[in-house]
Amino acid sequence: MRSQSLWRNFDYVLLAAVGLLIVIGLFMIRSATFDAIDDELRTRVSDQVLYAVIGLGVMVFLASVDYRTLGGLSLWLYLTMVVLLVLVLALGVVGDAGAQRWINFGIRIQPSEIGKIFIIITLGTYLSKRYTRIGDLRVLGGSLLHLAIPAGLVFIQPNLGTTIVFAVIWFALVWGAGLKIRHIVIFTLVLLIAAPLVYSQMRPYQQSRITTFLNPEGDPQAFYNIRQAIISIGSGGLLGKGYAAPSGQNRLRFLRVRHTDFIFSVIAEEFGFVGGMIVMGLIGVVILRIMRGARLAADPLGAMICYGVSAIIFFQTFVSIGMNLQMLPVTGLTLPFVSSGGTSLLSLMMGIGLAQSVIMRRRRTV
Amino acid sequence: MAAQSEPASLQQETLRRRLPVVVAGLIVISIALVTRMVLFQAPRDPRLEAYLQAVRDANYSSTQRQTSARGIIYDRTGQRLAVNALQYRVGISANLVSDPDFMVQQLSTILNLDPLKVNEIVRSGVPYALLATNVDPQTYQQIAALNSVAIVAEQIPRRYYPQGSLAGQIIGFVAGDGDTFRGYNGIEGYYERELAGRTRQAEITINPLELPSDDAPEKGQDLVLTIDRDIQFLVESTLASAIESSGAVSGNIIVMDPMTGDILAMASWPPLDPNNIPLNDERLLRNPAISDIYEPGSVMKVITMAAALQAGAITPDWVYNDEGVYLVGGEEIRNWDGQAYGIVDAETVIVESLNIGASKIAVEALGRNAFYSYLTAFGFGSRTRVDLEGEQLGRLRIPGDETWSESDLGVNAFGQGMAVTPLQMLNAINAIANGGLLMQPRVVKQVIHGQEVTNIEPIFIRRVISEEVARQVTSMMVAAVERGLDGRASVEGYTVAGKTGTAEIPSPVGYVTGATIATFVGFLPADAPQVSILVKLDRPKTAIFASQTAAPVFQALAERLVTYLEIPTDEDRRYLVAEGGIVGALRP
Repeated sequence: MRSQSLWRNFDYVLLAAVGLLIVIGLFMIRSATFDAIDDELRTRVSDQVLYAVIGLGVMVFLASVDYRTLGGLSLWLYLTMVVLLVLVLALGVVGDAGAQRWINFGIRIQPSEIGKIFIIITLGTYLSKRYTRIGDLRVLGGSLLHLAIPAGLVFIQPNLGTTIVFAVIWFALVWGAGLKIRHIVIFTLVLLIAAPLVYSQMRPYQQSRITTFLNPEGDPQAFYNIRQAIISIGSGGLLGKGYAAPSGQNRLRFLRVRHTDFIFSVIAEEFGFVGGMIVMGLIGVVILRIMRGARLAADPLGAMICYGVSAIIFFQTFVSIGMNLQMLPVTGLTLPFVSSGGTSLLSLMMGIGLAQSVIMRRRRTV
Repeated sequence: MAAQSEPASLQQETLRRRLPVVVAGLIVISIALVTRMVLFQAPRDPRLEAYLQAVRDANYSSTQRQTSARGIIYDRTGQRLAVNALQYRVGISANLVSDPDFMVQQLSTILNLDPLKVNEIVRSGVPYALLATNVDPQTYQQIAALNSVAIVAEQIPRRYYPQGSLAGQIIGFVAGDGDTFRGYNGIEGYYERELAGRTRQAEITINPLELPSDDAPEKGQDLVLTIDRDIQFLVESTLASAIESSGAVSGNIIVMDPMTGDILAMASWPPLDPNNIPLNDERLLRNPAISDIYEPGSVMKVITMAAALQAGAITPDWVYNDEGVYLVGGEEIRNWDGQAYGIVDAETVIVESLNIGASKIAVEALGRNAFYSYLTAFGFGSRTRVDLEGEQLGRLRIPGDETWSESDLGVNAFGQGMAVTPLQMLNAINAIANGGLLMQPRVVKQVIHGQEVTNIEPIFIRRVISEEVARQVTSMMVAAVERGLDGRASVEGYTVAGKTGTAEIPSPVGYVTGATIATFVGFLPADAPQVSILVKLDRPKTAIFASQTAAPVFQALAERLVTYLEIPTDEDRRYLVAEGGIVGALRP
């Protein structure tokens, strides 16, 4: 009886929006890879279908589990995350750009992606236990330390994009917990001072991504990816060139990493402004539905979880699209639910599952 | 729960108060993204539009490689003469290199590049820099084994000729990149459409459920040649040693089956390696056996004789009085040795190669109209229509042309004042060898299109002379070899028909003194020919007359060909025929 009323609160609008995005993503990945010569690219669509199915299962499972139970397991989740991230460095698979991001457990997983979800629960638990003392710098410092260990491990993989996502999660949660404005100011100042230091520690390709963004014309060759993306989007017009249009930048394979980083360009090229707006609108629906969950949440932990999950989705969307539109540096972040990428999709589905869990167990009255 | 509910709701208040700020931020950022998109996708300044279009188009044509696999070329025994190979263009995304030292060391070793230069590229941090073009597959395998994401390799289709320079001039070559990748000259040029296959068409759809229906690019058709690789090799090596021993500057040898017009081998010196095309010198790319013309000289007497016999202007027992000088159209014609031969018959005109005799036949017996209509019928003055790109038609002035004069008739009769290609000459002689039929020479005998194999039948153009006349002329050519050459063109066990030609080389200011073009054209066995051969040497230094230079080359080649082609000796053949056996040579 109780479980029946629980599932009555399940957010089907959220589910539908996510489902549509995944389906759109499948078609776009297909367009981007169907005539690829590379064998690895050819299996992208079927891989994504597999991950989507697994993701759906994981989402339903997490929705059925009370998020407070997970909050109780906070310490274990945190330790698991740290161990996985250390394992990646110790025996991970060296992938793109010489970064160690994957562990092979029969299927390849990217612990940093899973970590994004775990840290929402653990940091959310940490903060929700101390929400009255958020003004206390020790609590703030503790939260930073809480973040610093996994984020540091991700940074030295190196994986700049996900490190920033970790930072964004932290900011979303402390903001939600009631961070004082003056602390924000102080923090911003610290960031401005620390930035050059961090920059100097970056790998050359990470640096070049930033310098390319800041001064794209400086190195015409470095400008290549972004220029191709802009040509793709620019040539899309209002309604686009048509699905897998043979004359497209996508089909002609000028666009690199088109199934992941630049999937939005493919959408905007083939389905134009309208297509781009539909995708952005759907992601907007997802974010707002989860925000609504934050407002309805029965307790601070629930709200924190919704905050964190919507922050991830929002931030990744903003960065991914912004990068395609040459507003932000190329970071390699995926467009949520749409880009090809198994663990990324899985972690997002875990996030949706957590949000659903919170929404299903909301307060009776709104 | 109860104890927590008050502070919990307090925090909820904070959250709720801050939510509008978040939503506001969301909206602002969304507006920024949408604006940016509108800026990109809305109709713009036409100049920017034109620029983007130009960038698009420039990229568009540079990589639209939709060419299909080119057809393979085989010789008549199935040996591959032209195949497809992949080459790679290797570049590097320097910004993605994780271990520069290792990369520099490996790349410079594998690609055999200057380590300093590679170092500069690898450490430049640029997203793409070209390292090497034309990297062969084996080398590429080593590069691929590095398994680095930083390495960018593009496949480039290349044509490869596994036999090297063998038959290079016949095959032609392939050049260009992407859309301009196509065959030139020879077979690659002539059969471009068949070999290239069909480029693919693609159509646009906005339905994501169906992918654009790319018609799979149709693979090019494979060709089987009449060329025999082993004969070709034999011919090329014979030619090379003939050039060496005679001191000639260039030369050609053609071997044909006179019955069908099949070219079994065709070689010219200097050779051409299609794997290594000297693109800066267009003359070296041609196939001189079909593209270069020369004055055929005395070989033409055979044609003049055949024409006169066919026209009934003379009979084999025709005689004339050779006075040593003969005046035609104001031009004095003399024999090669300047001697007067007195009363001579038709056969002696061929055996002793008498210019005056040939002229008299053309001028007095045959007459200009009949003479030139027979020359045209033998294929002079027009292309043989061999299936090779780059064929010339030769030069033949006929009455009615402004530059034709009466004296042309007199000298054309023994092969001066006109020009032919080596193939044209041999093809005309084939019409005598095969009993009077002019065939269209060919190099492709089979086209393979997927599962479908199309045999190309020999093409008969016209009957030029009767079998009777062909037999009469052949016997004169047999006499020329047996009586006139001291055995220099004879092959033991076989009756050989042939004729030498020693032509002077014309220049704008008259004939070049001392320099000649020596040719020998012959076929065997004379009564049922299986092969016909043309040997031509340009400016041999060791001797002036073809009987001393070209004829021995013919002999050396023919001796090996009869073994290779297992042509029975005349005696064996007669025995076999008497026993009721069917011998390949006895074709209708």
